[in-house]
Amino acid sequence: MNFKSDMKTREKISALLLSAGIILALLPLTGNRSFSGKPEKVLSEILNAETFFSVDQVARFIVTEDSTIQLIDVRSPEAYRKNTMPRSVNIPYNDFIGNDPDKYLNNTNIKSIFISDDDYYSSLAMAYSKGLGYNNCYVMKGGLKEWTSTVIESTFTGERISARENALFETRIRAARLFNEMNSLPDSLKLKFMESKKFSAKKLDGGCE
Amino acid sequence: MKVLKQYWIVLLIILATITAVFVKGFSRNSFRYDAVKRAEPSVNKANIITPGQTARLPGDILWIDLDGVKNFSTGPDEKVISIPADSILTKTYKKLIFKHKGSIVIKSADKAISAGVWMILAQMGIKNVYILN
Repeated sequence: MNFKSDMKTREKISALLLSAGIILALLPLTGNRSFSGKPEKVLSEILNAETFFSVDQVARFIVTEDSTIQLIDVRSPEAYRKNTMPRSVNIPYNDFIGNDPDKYLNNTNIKSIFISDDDYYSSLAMAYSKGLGYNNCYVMKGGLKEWTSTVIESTFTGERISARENALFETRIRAARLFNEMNSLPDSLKLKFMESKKFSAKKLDGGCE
Repeated sequence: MKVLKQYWIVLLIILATITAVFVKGFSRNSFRYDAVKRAEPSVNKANIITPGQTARLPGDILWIDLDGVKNFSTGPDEKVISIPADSILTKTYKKLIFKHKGSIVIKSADKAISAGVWMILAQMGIKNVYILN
């Protein structure tokens, strides 16, 4: 009797192990995450005009030191050193894709605005983030090129200026000043500053260093 | 039959898992596994192509204009279609894209649009899709 019940137990265990083996063989063996949700929905979020902030809006965020905004510059470190956006952190696109974005985007109270030379890498980073379920991601429309032509090289030509235009130009001038101050720092000071601005997941978590 | 009766739960679990994996792996209506792997061509810039490089692409090329202008300089036999970016995943166009055997080249005056569409198509498992520079 004991022998029979032992056989049954062994059969059951074998069946369970075999089924576990089949399941493991079929499941994708990767620790990397995958996009979630319906492709149509993600695409419409990516193409939505509200996913893009103008350079004037970003200038206002910078000038008012808006703490609900995080600027993420996805250019290379060399490009970032040459032209540093005030109040931005540099996470090169390669690193952003290669690491878990949760490190950078897990705080849902913060809007993350991606910046690149134009819209290409910033839009890729935004699309990637949205696909992984991070809805708090945006793009600075036009990138650094648009920033330079609209904010830095901003001039007013005309005889009269409305209050609204005046406010806009004031913001541009202040943002341009911050940008120029940042980028006129000597390299050693700039490096120190950039080191201090390096994204630290610990700081977000409020952990001890 | 006895075996089936005894282990029906186990067999059901295996069947359900196999079905789920196949649906996820081959469905045209969902994203594939491993987002990092699918995004890799954008990291090493292998997804960007110049007009001169298109001659080296394998197979037939499906040219997709995302702006509705058909602004491609291609030969007379090239297949150029105009699909607004927000309609690219409608049933008709999805079928066309998934059925196409060769390479797909997408173009838009707005880099944000071509980047976003590329990422979605790549994550859905379409490998030979390029952005025209």
